[in-house]
Amino acid sequence: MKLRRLFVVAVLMILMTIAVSSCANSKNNKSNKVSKNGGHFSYFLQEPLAIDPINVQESAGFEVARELFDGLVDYNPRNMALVAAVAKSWSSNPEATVFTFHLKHGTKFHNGREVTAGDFKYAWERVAAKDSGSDVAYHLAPIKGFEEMQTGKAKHLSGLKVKGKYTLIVTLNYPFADFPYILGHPVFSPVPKEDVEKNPKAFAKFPIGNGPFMMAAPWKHRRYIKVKRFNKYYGTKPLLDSVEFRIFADKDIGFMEFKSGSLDYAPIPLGQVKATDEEYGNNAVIGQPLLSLDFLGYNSRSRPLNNKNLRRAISYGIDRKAISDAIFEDVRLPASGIIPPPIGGAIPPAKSFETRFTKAKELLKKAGYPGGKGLKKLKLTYISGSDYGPLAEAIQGNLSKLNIQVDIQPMEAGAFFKALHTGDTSLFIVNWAADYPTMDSFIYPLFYSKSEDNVVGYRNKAVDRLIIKARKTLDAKTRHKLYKQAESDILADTPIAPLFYDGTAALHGRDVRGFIRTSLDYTPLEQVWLKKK
Amino acid sequence: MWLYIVRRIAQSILVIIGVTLVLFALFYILPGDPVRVLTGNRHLSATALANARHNFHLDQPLYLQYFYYLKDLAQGNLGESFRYHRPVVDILREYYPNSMRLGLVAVVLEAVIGIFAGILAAVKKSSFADNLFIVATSLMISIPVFWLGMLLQIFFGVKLHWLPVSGLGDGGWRYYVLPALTLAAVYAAFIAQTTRAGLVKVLNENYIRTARAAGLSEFKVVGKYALKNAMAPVVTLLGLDLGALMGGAVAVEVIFNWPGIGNQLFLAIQARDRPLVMGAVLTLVLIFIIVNLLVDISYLFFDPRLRSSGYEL
Repeated sequence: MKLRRLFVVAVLMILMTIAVSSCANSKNNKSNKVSKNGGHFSYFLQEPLAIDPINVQESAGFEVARELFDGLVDYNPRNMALVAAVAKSWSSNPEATVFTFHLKHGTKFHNGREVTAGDFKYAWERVAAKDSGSDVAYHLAPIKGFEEMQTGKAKHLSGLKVKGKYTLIVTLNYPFADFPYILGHPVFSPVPKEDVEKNPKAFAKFPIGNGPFMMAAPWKHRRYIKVKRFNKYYGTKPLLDSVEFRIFADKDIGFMEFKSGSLDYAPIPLGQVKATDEEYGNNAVIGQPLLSLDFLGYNSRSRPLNNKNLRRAISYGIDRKAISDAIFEDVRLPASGIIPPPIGGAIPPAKSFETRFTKAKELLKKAGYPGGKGLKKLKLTYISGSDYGPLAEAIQGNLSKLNIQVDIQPMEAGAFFKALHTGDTSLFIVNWAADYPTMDSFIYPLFYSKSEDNVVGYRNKAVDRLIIKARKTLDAKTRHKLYKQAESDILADTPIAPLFYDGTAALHGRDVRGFIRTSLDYTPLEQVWLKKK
Repeated sequence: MWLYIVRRIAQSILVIIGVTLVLFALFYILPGDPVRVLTGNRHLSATALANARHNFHLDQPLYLQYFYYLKDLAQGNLGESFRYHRPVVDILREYYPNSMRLGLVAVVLEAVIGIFAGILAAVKKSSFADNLFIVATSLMISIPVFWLGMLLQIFFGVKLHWLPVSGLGDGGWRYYVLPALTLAAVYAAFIAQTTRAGLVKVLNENYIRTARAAGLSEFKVVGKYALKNAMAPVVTLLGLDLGALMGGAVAVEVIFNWPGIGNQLFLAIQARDRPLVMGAVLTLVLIFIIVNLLVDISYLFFDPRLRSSGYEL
């Protein structure tokens, strides 16, 4: 009797459990229907230095800030063309020195207040101020009055004029046709004065922006940054409900997390790219060139590298294809030019290395060092701890075949940059990543004779004239032609040997849709969605 | 005892001043410019560089920089991080608790596992279990921490999906299991061996034989009389571990992406972030001093002879 009662109770309990769980399931199904295109996305990130526009610099900070903030303009993620964001239109004077931006009406900060031209002025002057503590104020250098603000002589940028609520007029120190492009960098985002000044410390951890996503909780350093969809966003609203940027110290741990199923996106660490490509196929985005160039710099100010033929011989003697295959798993694209392919750089038909090697020998002979005879050992430096160690060894190996002896000397970062800027170098491997998707951001800083980033000390008056002419040219086609001409002239002088364009190595989950990796190495999360499971 | 504590505190202040002096000198000797490390290969204008140097007081003579540092330190101000532009105190406040919690969990684990295993081995001396113990603990000591950590991550995280692979997530207990086990494994082996050695020695003492002859249970003999006397070296070891682990175990924090001070210190050194490195190291020194003081005081508890003999610690 007792046993029978127990049996009945057990059956009833099982039935109740089934009923309750089916109720819960139907509830879940309902919510799944609502968020058909949405969901929660878990994103790999390295600890950013800052997500407040005042100090956004490396790619991690850039990735978060561009979701939280919208500037006047943005980039088309597929081809990096300039598109309108908060600005609805803009125009320039014929000299490319004065730019007028007309803002859209009704765009909102996450606090609900409308974004006006005055917010841009406040934000830019906040960055340019002498005591701003910003490491990235240099982005504002083209704007008139920047130097005066940096030295503390002025409290406002004389080149910024606000006309009404929706017009911003920017006057530059010099002609610069590509100026609107630089405004896509998050450092130019508007910030609400009331929130910044209420508590700057809190703002750094919980920035109030105007982008497609807003902060969901204060940034937990080295743990996570949680954002959610901003429902009053003026543009196309994001499909995802929320994104958690999970912070990792390195790619290897993130990759392991991805494999455990807890991340929807992770970069693929070097050494695992080919295996991952085979395993994940369609979910991997590998080898798309980025706006980032690895190059071998020559100190052509002193002997023996002041000899152009020697510089060319060295460049011809490096087997980039083999190195990319052996060291970079074909992620990096062998570079024969300076301007990367995504912004109009050409990829010339590949010549076999044998042909190039023969040419290298000829050039070495022409340089006065037949078979490498009479050439002293060259010093090759790079930053210790970077991934250039194996690359340096490969170059050393390649050049030894030409009988050019190279001594590798990794240097601590501080000492390396000091040497770079004082010219106390011989051969060095360095990377240049563009801040903006323009040809100018490769040609001007690296090769204009008066540029402070011209680490190879390149001087060519004709090239300088071409660059200045390009900067004055508003017509994009003509401007690009001029930059390409400058590039070709520079390559003929060979102040550097371009080595590789860096490439993507990204992996996303099987349910992720709308995933793009741009050539500035970010994913526009406002376009991503998750397939219903 | 109070006099002793006051004396130790006075000594600590001297140690801290010494540490600041050495660290300051070390950073000064390092080649290169910290502002250049911050700005990378972007060559800032002379004004921008001067501003950056001015903001960090790097434009002043070294002795003045040091003087200002000590002045701030006396007021509890550790300065602002070069890299993160945030007060060092805030950064330490964020990361130290994470390291401390992990360290504490690991020390409790190693104490429980280590002491228990050590007792078993000592009681069953020269048995098969004891031999197995010696082999197992030697093996644990020889295993590299990062290898053990990765093994646990792959097995319990990636393959079985039982536990999180890394990080601190929402701070739940599940995140502590793997890193704490990894940390505890090596130290537990040391503790076990020390406990065993101490206990084996004590178990041969005359008073133990007397206790057994008086008919006390083996549990009471070992647990009450033998263990307490074998504990002094174990407590010293645990104290040292606690100090070391609270300061962040760099390898484990890096492998497990733990938001702790060890991980942060490692990055700060690479970035030449002098205020952050100095703040973290000074706090570490302070923790060591405090833990050592507590360990010394704990001797009085474990060895009453010291109390009656007016032990001067």
